[in-house]
Amino acid sequence: MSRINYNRISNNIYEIPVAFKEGMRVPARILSSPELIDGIDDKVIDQITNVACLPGIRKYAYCMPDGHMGYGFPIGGVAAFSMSDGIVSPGGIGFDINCGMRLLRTNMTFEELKPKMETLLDDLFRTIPSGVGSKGFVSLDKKQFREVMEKGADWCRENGYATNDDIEYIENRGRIHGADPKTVSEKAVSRGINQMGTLGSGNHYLEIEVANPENIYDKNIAEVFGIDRDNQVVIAIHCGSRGFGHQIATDYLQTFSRFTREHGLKIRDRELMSAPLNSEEGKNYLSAMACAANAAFVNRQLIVSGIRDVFKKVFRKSEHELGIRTIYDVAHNIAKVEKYIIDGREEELLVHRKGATRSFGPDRPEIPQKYRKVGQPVIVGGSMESGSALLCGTKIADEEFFGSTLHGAGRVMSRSKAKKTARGDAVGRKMKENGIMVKTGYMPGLAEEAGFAYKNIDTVVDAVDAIGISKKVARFFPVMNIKG
Amino acid sequence: MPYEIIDENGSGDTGLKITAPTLAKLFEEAAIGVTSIMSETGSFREKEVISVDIKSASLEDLLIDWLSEVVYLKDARNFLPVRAEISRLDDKGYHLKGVLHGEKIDRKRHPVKVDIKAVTYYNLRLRKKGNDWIGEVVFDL
Repeated sequence: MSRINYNRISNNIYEIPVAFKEGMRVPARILSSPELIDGIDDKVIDQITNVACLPGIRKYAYCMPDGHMGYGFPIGGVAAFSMSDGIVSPGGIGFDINCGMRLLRTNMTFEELKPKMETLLDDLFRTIPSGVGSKGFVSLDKKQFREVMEKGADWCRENGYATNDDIEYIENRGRIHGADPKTVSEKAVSRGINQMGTLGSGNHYLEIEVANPENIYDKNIAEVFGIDRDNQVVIAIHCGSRGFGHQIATDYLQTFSRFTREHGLKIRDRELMSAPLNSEEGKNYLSAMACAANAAFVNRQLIVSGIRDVFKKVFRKSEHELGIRTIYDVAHNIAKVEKYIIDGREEELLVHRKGATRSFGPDRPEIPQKYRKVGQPVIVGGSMESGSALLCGTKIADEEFFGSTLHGAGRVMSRSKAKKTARGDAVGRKMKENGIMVKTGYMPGLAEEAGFAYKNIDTVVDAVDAIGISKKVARFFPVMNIKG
Repeated sequence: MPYEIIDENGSGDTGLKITAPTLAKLFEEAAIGVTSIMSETGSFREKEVISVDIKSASLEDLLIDWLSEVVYLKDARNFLPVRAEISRLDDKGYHLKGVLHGEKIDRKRHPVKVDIKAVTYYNLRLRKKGNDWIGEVVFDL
């Protein structure tokens, strides 16, 4: 529980001034609500004010309403650094580089899904590998994996795992430029090469959800995004770059640690190691990060391809009849070069989003033509009991918050406390009673990921809606969950 | 129990607290603690031996790098250790040599729990207290 004397900027924005900690270059701003602010952990305050001390930071260090303790940056941390005198920090991106969300729409309604739910769950669980020691269904050699690193989702299109439409509706069209496989260690390659098309573990999941008409907040925008019928079935996927990205982050923390020692730089937190953007080390990390980000886009796309095959088989329908199309794919652990107006002058910045989603508003050329009037889709994952939220980006986010918003519900309870609160099988039974079928390779893990271990997704979504950094479009409720 | 699983409050993550009479023993137990977070150590047999040779910048780095090697082998070789033997642990030159005994993960025989993404420096502690060495390390899950 935090007892900070915030400067209250508005109902939902709480500022920590530079006088709070020696070395702060800019104030930190916590985006929250009167309901959420008292629950902010002191560690989050310490971490976001450490971020505010980093060289080249511009305007503010932000923490989103779903913010909680991370490594280096808090989860929910957003900070932008000058390309000339700023830094890059792996702790501002996370070990799971380009962890993100994919949302798919379908032509199906819940009524059509219902009779085959058990078969569907079993087939999806069999087809999409999850958990410790799982291997992907696509076997890649080193040359192919290099192409994955360089081309991202385009590799999937070239090899029959993605449609042109999929590519159009992935952030950055599924490819971060500047990826250089030479900046990636052999260890990272051997950790990741067999894992493409796997969900992973922890809070990663594949979920079948339903869009009930009473939970559509903006019908027009929902229709633009492809939510166009009552009780429509949608599919949410949450995962990232798997062992490949984890190893790149581990490798570069070591590299940056060495850099810090050699240059006699001050260390506040070893998870917040950074290197100047114009240093060899900084540039190499950005290239390696791009490789991992591209692999994560491929990973999610391969899972989509597997899901399409399962739906075709289970429902005996064609791809066209099923209409499984990508609404959008967002990265929520990444750093991107973007332009913003700082003190009346346009500046190129490296925006770190660690557990935060890009939230570009209308008219941005970076988002697909079809969404340019309404802003990009923002996909917010909740706990496996609460489902997801679909929002859209806004001009307020673009102009004042480095085009960023929240990414999820935000954890409030440790894993062992969650396991002491309820048993996994009891959580599974309760979910079944509430109409949610669940399958996992690790039953006690259900308690660790239960709804009570997370903040209420509606509370955090309401906070960003009130601030205006993204606007509510729809809420989806789960009917089936595969937990990694 | 030479190691216990500890919680990192406010996060979804888990740590290990290891108490051992020697530094080498602490490192050995910590490696098996990693296996215990991801699976049941009792289900593993000593069917394969992997040699490890690591040099680091400090003793704390050496612990992180050693455990990171176990995490790496889990993905790259699908291998988890059930016993570790350290033959050399130079606490001045920060050089470790040892072997890991274990086997490949077989989902039919090994109950899997939660995956470890990385070993972190967060709240890392390594100190001598009385006759014991005590280490605490947190993992990103």
